[in-house]
Amino acid sequence: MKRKVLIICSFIATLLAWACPLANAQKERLAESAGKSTLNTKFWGALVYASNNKVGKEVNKGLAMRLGKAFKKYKTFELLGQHTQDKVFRDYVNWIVPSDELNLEFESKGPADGGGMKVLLKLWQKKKVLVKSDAVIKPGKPLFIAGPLWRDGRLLFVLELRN
Amino acid sequence: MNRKEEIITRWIDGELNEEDRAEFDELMKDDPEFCARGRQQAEGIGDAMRSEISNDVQPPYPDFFNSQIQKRIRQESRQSSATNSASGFSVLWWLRSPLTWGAAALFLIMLFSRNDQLSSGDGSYVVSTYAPDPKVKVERAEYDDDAEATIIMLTGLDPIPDDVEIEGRDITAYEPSGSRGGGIFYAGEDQLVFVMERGIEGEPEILVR
Repeated sequence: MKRKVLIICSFIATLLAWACPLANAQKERLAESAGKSTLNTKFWGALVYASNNKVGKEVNKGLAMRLGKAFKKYKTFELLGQHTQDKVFRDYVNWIVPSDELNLEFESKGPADGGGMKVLLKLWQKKKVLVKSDAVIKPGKPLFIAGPLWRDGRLLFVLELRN
Repeated sequence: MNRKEEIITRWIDGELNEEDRAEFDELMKDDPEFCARGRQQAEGIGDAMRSEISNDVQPPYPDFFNSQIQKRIRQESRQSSATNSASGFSVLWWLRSPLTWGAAALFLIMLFSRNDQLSSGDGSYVVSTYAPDPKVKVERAEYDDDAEATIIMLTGLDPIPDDVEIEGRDITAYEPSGSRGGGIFYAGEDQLVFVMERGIEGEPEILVR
């Protein structure tokens, strides 16, 4: 019985010894590509007013479609303000301030495995923190934060990593 | 036949098990004469049989007798090899087993599918969330496949009064300023829009130009 267990363990150990360097090599390649993907990337943040009213400047169609799927209660999405930031300082405080009502403080923690950026987020409404979050943002996969209700709708904060 | 006779008979036939053997040893110690008598009688029976039955007499139904012996030998040999294989374990048997290869394949699929998930990914994701105000709840913080976006849904926030005007800006650049995480915000061609300072508790104080 001991011999049986020993041989099974050896077999598994051999498999691991063979597979782990492969996995690590793949991981390194991913990290390398993730590192490269952060070059020429920029953050884009927007303050959006979601409602069912006729609005002025709407967000682009692609974003409107996504927002419509995420917040089914609302039909129109007005772009109130936006902030494009192409110089993001790693491990320093950065800001996305599309208006003085809602703004986002964030710290970049560098590239994440599998692409994207690790970020620590803090959404402020004036002088009050609404939410803190630890997230990974990937290019083309935005983050929507549903903020407070306002008039007939709701304020939304959108954060996107753009190439 | 009493227990003593049974033990002696088993001893003569060489069929004592460990328990019987202990009992027999005890019996030999207590009553050696009885044992010797039993042995003598058994040998006497053997001698009587040998004297009565000729050596060259064929047993009845010899073919059947031989086939039964061969059958018994095959059975014992099979049992013995099964025991050996269970305790000895053959590596070749394991390598030949489809289960071994199935388990190995499953392991590799799991390993590489995990890496595949890392490489392709489902999108942005939230690791953790925290709302400092106890009234505020993070109702949802997850990636939505349909919207292809990660959603953080907050509930319990105080609504903004209707008479508050929210003026948005189009910021194109931000420069950090000061040691407390403040900054200067620009729009278009270096047009200064906001200047931000941090308050005592780190809260942003935005001066709108």
